[in-house]
Amino acid sequence: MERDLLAAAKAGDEAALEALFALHQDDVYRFARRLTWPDADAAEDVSQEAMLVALEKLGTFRGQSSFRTWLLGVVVNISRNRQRSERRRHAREAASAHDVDGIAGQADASAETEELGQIIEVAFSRLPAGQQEALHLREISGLTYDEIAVALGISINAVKNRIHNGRRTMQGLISESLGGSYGVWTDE
Amino acid sequence: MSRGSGADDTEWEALAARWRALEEETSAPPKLSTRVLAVARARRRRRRLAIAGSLAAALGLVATLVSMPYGQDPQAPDHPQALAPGPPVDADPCREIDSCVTAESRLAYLTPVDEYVPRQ
Repeated sequence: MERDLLAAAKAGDEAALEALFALHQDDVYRFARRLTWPDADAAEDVSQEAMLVALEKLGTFRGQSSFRTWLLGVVVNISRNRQRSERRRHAREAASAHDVDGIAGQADASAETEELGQIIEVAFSRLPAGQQEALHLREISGLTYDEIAVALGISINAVKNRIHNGRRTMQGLISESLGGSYGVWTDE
Repeated sequence: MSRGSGADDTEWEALAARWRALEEETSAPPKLSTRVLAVARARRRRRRLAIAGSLAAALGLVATLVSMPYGQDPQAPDHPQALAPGPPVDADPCREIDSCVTAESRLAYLTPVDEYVPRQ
């Protein structure tokens, strides 16, 4: 189905293109949301810009990876470009530091889902960008190591390292936020 | 006591499952894909306008240079071109680009009727 949509979209069929984007827009937005956290507007802008770039460059997509992999790779590039803006980066870091302090003070062993969500968000936001990209593509988007390597333009070994380090760092941060009681909710 | 990687992996899988469940609650803004196409059309239109504007300016410059006698300034108050009224824009409904007289009509000719869907 996607192959047909892609062929039609490449031929200029706007309905097919819209359907193709609609198939992937949640994935794109979730990924952008994490990479631009906590700025929801930025996530929307990055998602939109990624789809626009994909639209412009659709003719260069050779189908050697899945369209989804390619599209998420575009999101990475757009997000990286955006992050080069010093002002945004400083604002994000300041917001992140503030939230970590607040959450660490509030969290307890019986953290509610919402609190856990915030803790995960904060922990993820503190990872280096490269680890964020690889980890999200693996755990949330469900890409294989090979696909992540294509999307990020790095070796498979580098992908594995980033994912491994990202997991360990996130586990440590979350455990710290929960006062060392990280394991209490793993049995749920 | 140090913990084995197996325990870490189990904990991580539990965490990842919770994380995935939380992410599932996040979805793209409605009509994002529709809006992308609308923005793409608007950008294409702006590009065409810019190209047409450059083209019109270049054509206008060439026309001026060709028609202007050496040493004569068409901006001068007593110059015939300055005294003659220009054609009204609406009076130039060109049907081909070559028949467009004014720059405005050339741009109108090159600009497709389009719509822009604002962000919701």
